[in-house]
Amino acid sequence: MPASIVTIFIAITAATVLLVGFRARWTRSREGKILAFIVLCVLPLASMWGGFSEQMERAESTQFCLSCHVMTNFGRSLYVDDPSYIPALHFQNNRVPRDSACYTCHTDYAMFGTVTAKLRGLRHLQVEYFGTIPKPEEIKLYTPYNNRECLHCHLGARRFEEDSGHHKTPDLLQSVKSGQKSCLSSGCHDIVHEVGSLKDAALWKEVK
Amino acid sequence: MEKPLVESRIKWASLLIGAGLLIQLGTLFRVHPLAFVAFVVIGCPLIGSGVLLYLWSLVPVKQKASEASQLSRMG
Repeated sequence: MPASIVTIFIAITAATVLLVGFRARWTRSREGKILAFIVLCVLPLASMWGGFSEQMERAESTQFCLSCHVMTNFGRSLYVDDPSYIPALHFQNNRVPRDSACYTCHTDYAMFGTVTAKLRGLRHLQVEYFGTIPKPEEIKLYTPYNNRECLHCHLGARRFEEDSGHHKTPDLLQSVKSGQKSCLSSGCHDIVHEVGSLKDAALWKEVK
Repeated sequence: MEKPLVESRIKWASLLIGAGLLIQLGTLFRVHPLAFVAFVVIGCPLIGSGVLLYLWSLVPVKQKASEASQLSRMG
């Protein structure tokens, strides 16, 4: 549902709720009781649901993730003009949706992946406002990057399955698929955001 | 003249719900983690408590009505 519709719906609901509240005598009649039930129960819950789904959608956006200052360099790393940077390669070639780039790669594709991401997000907020903010280059993942997140898109893709690099040894592809060998930290695709060395990096200028 | 208890509760419920909705409305104008937190931690509980207060305002009225009908049958 478009954000503007949700916004208008919530605004109208708020206005009618306050109107009924200040004209509570309207609720004395039978029709008034039905009106009160719709205005004070059905509409607010519908608004809350609409707003919540809108907020959840926004929380997946790249703009949302990069809205904290400490994330700025991670955003810049998506524009590095060097295809060996895995996030930049994916972002610039639309291998991930640009407006939800962070979420696409950093949410566990597991049953409670989104919930886990939100809880971690709360922890990030706590550090941002009440803790000691680390330097961008000191920020690490909580757990090693799981191949599952890569395989969510790449598994079964011809380029992935037939790539000569993935067949250097007979059991390489299988060990990647089973998670025994990490895509990122086993020396194959190990250049990721590298925010510590972004100062001198050439950046890609997006054509709009 | 003093307002009936039900109407007073409805007024308070509408104030809670209205405040929650206005906060939620405000959070929709900014894409930021704090807006998300304000929506979930302040807006939703205000609306939830307002709806509960409204529903609660209905219960005593129903009880009184049933008590009244019982009394009328007895008397």
